Amino acid sequence: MWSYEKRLQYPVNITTTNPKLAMVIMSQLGGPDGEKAAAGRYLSQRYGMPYAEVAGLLTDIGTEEMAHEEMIAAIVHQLTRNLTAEQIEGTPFANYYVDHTLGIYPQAASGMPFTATYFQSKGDPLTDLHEDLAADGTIL
Amino acid sequence: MPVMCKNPLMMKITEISFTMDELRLFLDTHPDCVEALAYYNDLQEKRALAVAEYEAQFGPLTSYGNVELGCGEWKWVCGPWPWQNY
Repeated sequence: MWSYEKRLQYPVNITTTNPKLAMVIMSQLGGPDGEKAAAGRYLSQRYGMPYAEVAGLLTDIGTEEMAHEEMIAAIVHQLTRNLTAEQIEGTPFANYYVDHTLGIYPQAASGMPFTATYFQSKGDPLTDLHEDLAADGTIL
Repeated sequence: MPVMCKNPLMMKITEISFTMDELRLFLDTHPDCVEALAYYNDLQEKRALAVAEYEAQFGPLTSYGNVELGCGEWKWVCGPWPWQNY
């Protein structure tokens, strides 16, 4: 069970829209090293973790990754809010706009939709922890 | 750093919570650390006071409590959502 708090983990107050920047930042939501992959990774792997302390850690980190998803989505939303088709035409955001308008959709900057193939869950704690290091360790 | 939250009470809650988020991960693997436990408990008390004050003025942070059903209104959906912080 999760409970939601009506606040961001860290405040997002963007005053100037920028569709080009939004197109880059959205990869941190739904891209190969994005927050959605991170949340899916930790929250899936915890079932194979025999140590209570580490299962707790995976639960709490996975939960925090979901809060990160919300912050990145808020950034993309605020970078593109109320933009018109004319303001988007000719920017890298144009192709995204064709499929999603100003909706938030988890995808990589390349346009690749989010996929669970971005992470692994093997049921073996050491294998999974190695995957965590590869995925998240370099960007901590 | 400029003040990031428009609401000073929310800023306080955010700062306290951020520290607790980091402490929680440390405590998961160091459950016997007396110093970290004392720090967490201290922050928990400060947070409870700040949250109570915030919710009294601006509405509930969670939908489990403080939704003020008594006033005949479902306060959970009143006011902006976090991503609409503008």
